Amino acid sequence: MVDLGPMDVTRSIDVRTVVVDPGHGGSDVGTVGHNRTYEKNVNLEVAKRLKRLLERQGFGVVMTRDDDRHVALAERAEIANNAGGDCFISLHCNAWYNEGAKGVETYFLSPAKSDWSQSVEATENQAGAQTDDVDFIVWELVQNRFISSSSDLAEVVQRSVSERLDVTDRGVRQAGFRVLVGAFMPAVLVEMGFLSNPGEERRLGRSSYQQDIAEAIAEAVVEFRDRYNRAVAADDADGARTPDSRPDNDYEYDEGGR
Amino acid sequence: MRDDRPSRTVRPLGSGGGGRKPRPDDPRPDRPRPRRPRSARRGSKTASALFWIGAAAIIAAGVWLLFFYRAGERNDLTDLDPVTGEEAGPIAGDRAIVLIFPEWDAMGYIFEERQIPSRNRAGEDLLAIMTALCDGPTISGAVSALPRGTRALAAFYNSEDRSVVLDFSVELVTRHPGGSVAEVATLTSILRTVALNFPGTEGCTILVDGAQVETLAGHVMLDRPFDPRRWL
Repeated sequence: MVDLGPMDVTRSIDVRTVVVDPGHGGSDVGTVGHNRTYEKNVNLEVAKRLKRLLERQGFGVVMTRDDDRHVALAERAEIANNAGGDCFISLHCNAWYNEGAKGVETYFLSPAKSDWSQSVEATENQAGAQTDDVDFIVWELVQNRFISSSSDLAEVVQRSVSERLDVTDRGVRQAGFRVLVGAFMPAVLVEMGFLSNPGEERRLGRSSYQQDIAEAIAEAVVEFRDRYNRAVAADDADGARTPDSRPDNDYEYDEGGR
Repeated sequence: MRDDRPSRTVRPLGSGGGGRKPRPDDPRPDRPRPRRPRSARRGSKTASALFWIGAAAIIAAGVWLLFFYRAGERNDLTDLDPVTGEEAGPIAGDRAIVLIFPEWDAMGYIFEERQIPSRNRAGEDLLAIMTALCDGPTISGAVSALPRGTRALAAFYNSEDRSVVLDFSVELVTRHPGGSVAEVATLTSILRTVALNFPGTEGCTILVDGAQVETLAGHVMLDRPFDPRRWL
């Protein structure tokens, strides 16, 4: 059974601890560029730089891995929750079937129920769900309460990275990525560039470019924290503090994903 | 009455020559066994060999005739319904299908319409549609979202619970380029195509070489059925 960690649905967002998740690792190398640039290595290098930058800004930082080892997708959310993370940033490199695709994109979890939970419900109706299945549905519903703040975080990160690095802005997208399901906090997955594109592979392999990406993401986290602190302060003044206080909401808030 | 006829000897094939071995209950243990001339024995061996060769030839010819007779009746020995395994009926006509492919730069999706011969069997049509997805687009500006070499091995449609099971060859994983956008494109291409061609399908299980896999490229879990309607 997966232990997703402590759950507090009433807490507001006060970004103090950032969970940085370098994607893949160990035997799971991720995608590989034409010049043998391994995604897992790029992810880890950027993550380490991001950690140092955020700590300089006063954040507490927890890494889901700090060396070349495999960490299961479900375990990453568990680490984030147990660490009391306030936001979750998963770092990845993209790939495509040809060299044409390029640019940066940022994902957050789809607000509706995932296929996974729907299938669990179907199983439950038929023969009774397992305990971890039920727990998982509860956690996903809780996570859905952070959909709107996750979209905000994704928007801020995407803008900061694409502007600072002068790369193609592929926009903010939604998907049911397993690593984002179960993290009880605003959570995003950043695709920092395409290793299948030779030009972007060269850039992603450069330490200076890795530093630029890390700085762009760190700036976005600071902006996200400041925006939410202002919103929380305003809510406190009005006496209307909600679990997902946010300055403005362009996305329809999905109550529990139902 | 005394029987003076020579006793018949049954000799196992390949046991070689040699005289008759006396048995404990043989009433004539010491009676010498009459021997046929050497030429007669050689002729008997030849006849026996010819008999077995002829029998084998007759059996082989029979199997061959049966095989081609039945093939001629059905015209196509591979015409079996992938769901039931039963002999398929005649072609009912062409079926219009829609295939979903990603744009060449992964910025969106393009649909392609085709016609496939159909016997109005869901499983058979589904397999043909997935095979067409594996073969890739014929329209410009689109690419296949399934890795090169991937084959659709089997497709099953269950009308009772409106679910489908798709089985692809290992290339779906081993040759996948990785990356979120490619993984999502593979799943979108498959699931959206299922949803459009089989409206109302509520569950789609994707197998690789007959077995469940955790993910295609490390992002989206495949351990549970997908709801294709959510991928439209």
